[in-house]
Amino acid sequence: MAEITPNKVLDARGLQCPMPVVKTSQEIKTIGVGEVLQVLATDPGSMADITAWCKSTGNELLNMEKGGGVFTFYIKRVR
Amino acid sequence: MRTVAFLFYYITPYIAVIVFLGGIGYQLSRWRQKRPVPANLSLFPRPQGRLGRLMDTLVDMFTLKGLFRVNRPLWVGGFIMHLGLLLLLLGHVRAFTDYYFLWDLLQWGEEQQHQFSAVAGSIAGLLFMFPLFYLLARRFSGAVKWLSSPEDYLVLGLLIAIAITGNHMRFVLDPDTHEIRQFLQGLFRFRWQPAPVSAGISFVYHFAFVQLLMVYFPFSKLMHTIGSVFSKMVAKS
Amino acid sequence: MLTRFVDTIRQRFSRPLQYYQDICVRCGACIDACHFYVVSGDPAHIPAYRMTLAKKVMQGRVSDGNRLHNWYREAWGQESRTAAELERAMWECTGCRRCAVFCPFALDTALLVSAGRYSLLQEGIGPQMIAEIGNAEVSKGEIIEMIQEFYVDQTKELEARLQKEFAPDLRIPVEKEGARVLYVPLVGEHAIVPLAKVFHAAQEDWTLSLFTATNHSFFVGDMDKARQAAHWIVQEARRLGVKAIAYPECGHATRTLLSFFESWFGDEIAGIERISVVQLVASYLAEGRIRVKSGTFDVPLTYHDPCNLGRNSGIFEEPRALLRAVATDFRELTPNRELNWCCGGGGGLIAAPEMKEIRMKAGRPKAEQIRQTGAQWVVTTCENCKTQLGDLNEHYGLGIEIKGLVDLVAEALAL
Repeated sequence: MAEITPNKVLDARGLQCPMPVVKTSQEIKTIGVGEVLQVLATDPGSMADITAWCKSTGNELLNMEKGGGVFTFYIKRVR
Repeated sequence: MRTVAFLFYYITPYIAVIVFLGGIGYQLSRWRQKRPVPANLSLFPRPQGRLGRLMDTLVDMFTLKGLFRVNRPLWVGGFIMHLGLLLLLLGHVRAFTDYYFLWDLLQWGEEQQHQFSAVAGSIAGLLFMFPLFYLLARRFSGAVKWLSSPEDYLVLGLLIAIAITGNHMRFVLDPDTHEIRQFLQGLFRFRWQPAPVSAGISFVYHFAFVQLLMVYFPFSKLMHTIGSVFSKMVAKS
Repeated sequence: MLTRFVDTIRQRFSRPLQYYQDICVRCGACIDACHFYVVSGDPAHIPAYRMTLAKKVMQGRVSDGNRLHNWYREAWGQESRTAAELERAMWECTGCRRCAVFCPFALDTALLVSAGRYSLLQEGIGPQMIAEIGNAEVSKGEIIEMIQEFYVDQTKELEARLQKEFAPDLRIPVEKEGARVLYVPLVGEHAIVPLAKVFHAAQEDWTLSLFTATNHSFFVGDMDKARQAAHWIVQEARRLGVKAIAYPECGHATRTLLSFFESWFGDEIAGIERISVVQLVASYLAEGRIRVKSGTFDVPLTYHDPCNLGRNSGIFEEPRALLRAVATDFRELTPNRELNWCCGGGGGLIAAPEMKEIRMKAGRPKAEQIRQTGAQWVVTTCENCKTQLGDLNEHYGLGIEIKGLVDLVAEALAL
């Protein structure tokens, strides 16, 4: 898989429910359609939240990776 | 004029009763048509069991204990007004029938009955009337002003008019209660008697306002008489 | 204007709402009950006013031009002022139901607000964010297989860490068939760690849910979606064959579990016990399944009854029993239990960034209440309350710490 270059990074590590999704939703509106937001999160639960949020809003989850206890999401703004 | 008087004394009272009962039935069926309670709407702490709920609702209704806890002045006004109203309704039952068992039990003659009802009726009339003025004054003050609708003034106005005309008869005119009872029993039994004259124009107004209230009742917030039983039961379910 | 609101709310009017609307006498007993009104003085915040406002809007404009009729119905129908007022009346509410306790007829303004919010969203009025999170919760069931492997990995890491720090034989079971209790957490390990410790101490046969308990559709009155989101959990419980579903320290979710699941799921949920972890942990202590070191905490502390656990679910004494077991200086807020002031953060407002300012205002009675106790810790059992109390602490300079009840119990465990 080719390297994804995000247009913006959101650090949602350590945020309490439901803030990772709230922040993601706010931040995605600050980038252009077709651009990519990188989200960092630590909780296993926020992984499900962000993935589900992508599905319900129609934004595209390009990739999700894990390393050093941190989840990284690459979300492409579609609408 | 005689036609109007005839309609007023012998026809509209029946219409008022029909609208009153029919209107209540209509509202109940309107409520029934809606989807039932969508969830458990309990408020805690709540009483245990069906009987406990019913008892607690009845105690609430007759004491307004919830209001006592959170708003003492409103409780005083509301409780005394409703107490007066209850006593007045009990008293007015005597227009149609009588508490024979009670008089027998107390071994009271007609004179004693009359004296008792004069005293009790006077007290009840005042208990009912004065809180109404307080409740009306409240409507013009503070945040209650924001809350008040024309309906609220209308209901209070009607009740105050009924109270004033009733008390005027009781305290000023001292009419022949026999005559009034004859007339009302006549209506009740469909054996019409002459309209009372000893209570003068106050009776006419009193009778008119009561008829108006009966017609208005089902379509106003006065339906809380019945609806509050449901809402309280739901909150204790 | 507001025609979609009117159409939607009419459709959604249930039986209690109809008689609530017909019988409210506007006596004003609710005026002093609402923390929003107490701080704002805005009539739109008076519970009975919210009720009347919705009634007037639902009646629509009087078209007959009869002045008396117009006067009686207060035909200020559907003007822009009304729309703005309606927005405040429906969104600036935490659904705490304190007003229903004050109301002599126990009229439930929160039920109206629930229908009102849903109907306003059809007009595009209100914070969309809450609905957006709610939608994500509905979608969660469809993506859960995608992330399941990651999730299990992550809990294994957490388990390994706790085995090192706490007890070598501690387990965090996931997808364990036949477990007695399905514990549904919140997002974040803070909602898992203390429970894992307590469950370990109580030797509970439990399994961790793949889902989280929160249900934001409930906040916006979208009961179909709220039901769908909760349905994933019911399905999980049935698939694993558990005997009980335990919900975390989360107010609205606890209320859905204890007061809505039965009407939402009927037979599907029959035979499965529904319980808040607060009740569950209190029962462990009462039955001697866990022991705590009494007097572990000697700081002055108080307990904030979350509206949804307290007056809306009846969980008053369990948290107090637990606190008295672990703390030496427990102080009650005044008032407390069913008359407790809402923290000002309920009703989903936490998730709407634009509501922060009104949240801080509406939390003033709470802040003053806390100050009066002189407590240094405020213990509570709702995630919403915790976030809001943390914000209030900052905003009003209270100098307190916010603690979760099960956290304290886990810390005081005597193994």
